[in-house]
Amino acid sequence: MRQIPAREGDLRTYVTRFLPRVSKPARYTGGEYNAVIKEAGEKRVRFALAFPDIYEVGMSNLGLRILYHALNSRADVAAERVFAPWVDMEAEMRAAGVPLYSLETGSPLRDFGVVGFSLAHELTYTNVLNMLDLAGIPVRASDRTDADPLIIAGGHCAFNPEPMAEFIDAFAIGDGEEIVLEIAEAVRDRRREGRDSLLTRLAAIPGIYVPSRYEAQYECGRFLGLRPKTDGLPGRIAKRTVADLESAFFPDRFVVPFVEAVHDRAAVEIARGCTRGCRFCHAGMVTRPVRQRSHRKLMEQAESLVSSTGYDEVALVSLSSADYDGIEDLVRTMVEHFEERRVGVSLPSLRADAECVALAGQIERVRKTGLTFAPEAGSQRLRDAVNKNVTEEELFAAISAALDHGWHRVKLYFMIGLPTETDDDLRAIGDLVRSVIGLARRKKTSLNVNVSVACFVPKPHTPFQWRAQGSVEELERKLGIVQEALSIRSVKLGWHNPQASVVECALARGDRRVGAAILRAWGLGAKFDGWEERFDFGRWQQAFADSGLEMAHYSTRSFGYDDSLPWDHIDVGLRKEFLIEQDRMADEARADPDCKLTGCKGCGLEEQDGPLCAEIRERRGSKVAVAS
Amino acid sequence: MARFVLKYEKGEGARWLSHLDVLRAFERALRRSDLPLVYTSGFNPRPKLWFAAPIGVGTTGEAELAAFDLEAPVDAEDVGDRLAAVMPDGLAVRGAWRVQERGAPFKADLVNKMRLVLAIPEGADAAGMEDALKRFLASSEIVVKRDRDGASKMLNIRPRVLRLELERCAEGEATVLADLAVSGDFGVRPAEVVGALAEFLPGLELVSVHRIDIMERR
Repeated sequence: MRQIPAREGDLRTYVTRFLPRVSKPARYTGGEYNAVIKEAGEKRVRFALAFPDIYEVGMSNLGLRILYHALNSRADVAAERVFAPWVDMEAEMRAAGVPLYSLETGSPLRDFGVVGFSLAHELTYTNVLNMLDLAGIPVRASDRTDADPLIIAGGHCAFNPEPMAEFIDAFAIGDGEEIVLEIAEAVRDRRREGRDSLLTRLAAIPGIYVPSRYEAQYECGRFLGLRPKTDGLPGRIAKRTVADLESAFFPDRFVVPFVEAVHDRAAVEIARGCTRGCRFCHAGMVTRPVRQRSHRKLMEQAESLVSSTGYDEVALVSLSSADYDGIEDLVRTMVEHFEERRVGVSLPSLRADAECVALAGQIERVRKTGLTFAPEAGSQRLRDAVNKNVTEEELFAAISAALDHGWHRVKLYFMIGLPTETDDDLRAIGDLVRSVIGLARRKKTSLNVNVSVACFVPKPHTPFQWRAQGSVEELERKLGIVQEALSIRSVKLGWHNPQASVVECALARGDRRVGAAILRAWGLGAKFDGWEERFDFGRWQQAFADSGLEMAHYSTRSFGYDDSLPWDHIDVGLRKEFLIEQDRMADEARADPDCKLTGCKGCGLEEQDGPLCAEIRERRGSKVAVAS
Repeated sequence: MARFVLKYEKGEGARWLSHLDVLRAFERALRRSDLPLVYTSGFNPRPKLWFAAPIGVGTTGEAELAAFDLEAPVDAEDVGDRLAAVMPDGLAVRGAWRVQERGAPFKADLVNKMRLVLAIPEGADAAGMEDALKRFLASSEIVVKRDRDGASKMLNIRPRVLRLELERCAEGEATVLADLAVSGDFGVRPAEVVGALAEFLPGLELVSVHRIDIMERR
């Protein structure tokens, strides 16, 4: 059994003094089973994977787990993890002069060659700045010298990198497992090369966007476009897509946290991408085309993870698990394989479909969790408008099946502020939930209903990217209608703060100028903005005002189809005509089901000729794309 | 069915783990070991696992005890070896032996033999420490306040402090050997002992706690 090598520079020795005073000190000490600790070596690239939230949240992120082991599988790379210290620990660290350190070896973050931030959510942006500052690394990219680590960022928010352009040296757009190794190689081959030269080499890697090499142009306060400063730079950066998921790297083990993580289980990625085409969904749009892994591969990966971790649950992860080809077979095989060891199988993203529930009923033989469905809208009209293809009948059949299979707890997700929404649509949420309760009553079984209401945020690269978000007042008014409609005894209602959703929107659809507001907000004390108790709307309003900007310019303003969008330079493979066509259909409340059913809609990804796209075209044909 | 007791060390790498963290770590290590575990019944089956007087966050221990059931008898040395191979750093296996299956594996009345490391106030010395310990032991009552479920209770911990002995005192630090009795879920906490000692020697502070051994109370 290995001892963690005691290093002179192991900063963990300096924090033991105050660990008794902080909440969950084990977040900051490392030593977990399967953590990879490598000796410092000359030719070894030191890569820090930074997740800008607390340990328990970061350790639940599957992407981080994949990148960590992908990097460490290389002998010439040593990857370590770093998370945002909670406010109590940060205060102690600042008071004691202890800079931010990695978990594996307690090394100061600024000693790494590369620090890669995972941008999963816009409200973590201030945490990125805070972590850089806590590490003693200049927050602004332009202030960094050759002595500072390269700061890169990836994840879903990187699809509109502009708000963070001032703080990040290079963005990695799209699938991460291949590009992250190419970045490590570029850094490894650096030798005595300066920062500038290194960035030039990185910019040549497909999928890398170096913001300092581009200039933003504005006219009369409106964003006009981005222009490369030198020749030879691409006007648009195409996202990276791992073509063959089957052979793509996937870890054979996970680091097992001591502290309870939000999602603490083995997880296999059964598919990437989604064909459902919900018009508000960013993830579904930017991860196309759909790629799947085979049963055999998934069984191998699940078995390897379970035996190397001792986890008692395997989650089958994808955006819409029930859409995986042969999901019933896969689930049945997995349940049988793991039953003896009392290891459960879960399907986190289930469709509201009675067959799926019966499937879930089968898999949850071993352990039962609550079931979650996302109708998103209360009326069929609005569901059709946003292209969330689930009918009331399907939802009731699914819940009925759930009750028959022994579930007594159901969670329903809804959104308010959706495009074309009326007050009647909002009240329909109440009617829908009441019908669900009535269903349980008729079956004479108890049912706890948890409803969660979020505010619609128009996201880049979706058909709704041009839509206006409701104002705070409007969203609060709508929330009030839903709260009244749902003041029912057996219903527990939770909701997201509309003010936080407005800030999220301003950051999601911002151009480069928004960076100034992020910097100012952080300077005023903003951090952990995604946490209700830490979010302060007034601070953000002041930050925008101090920067000479208006949040409304990015949130309540609707963009025109001909406007230059701050994320136009990021190419996710979708045709603008397709997005416009889908957006127009929303005004007619016209649904457009899954291309697996309707045939290819010509969204643009079919150009990559992925196996599923080819199959769809062969079996169902191709719809003619509407040219603008 | 066979029941085993495992002696292990909660070392520096595990000092900051709560008891729940240790429990979870054990459950996973047991699963990794591929030993034929016995699981609890119901919706959420878990390996059957017991701990003797679990210690909390900030404490290390060199003679910690856990017990678990296996479906079939396995050689005790094998059990120890297989677990040792999969335990996380910080929880080192020191030995395993088989015990009888009936009843609870650990008695309720136990004695924690602790080593408390204290920071002594400026100007204080060994004589001052000895005096504080003597006065503590001479008291018939030492009352502390405990908060539980929102309500406060006053408790006399003196009868449960069986021994206090100064082991070492130098360079602003003192180590005290303390035998503290535990029964059911009422145990004396080192912090409470030190808090009371500080009444006799103001400025005394608890730095760290280490459990040397767990014994049955006679």
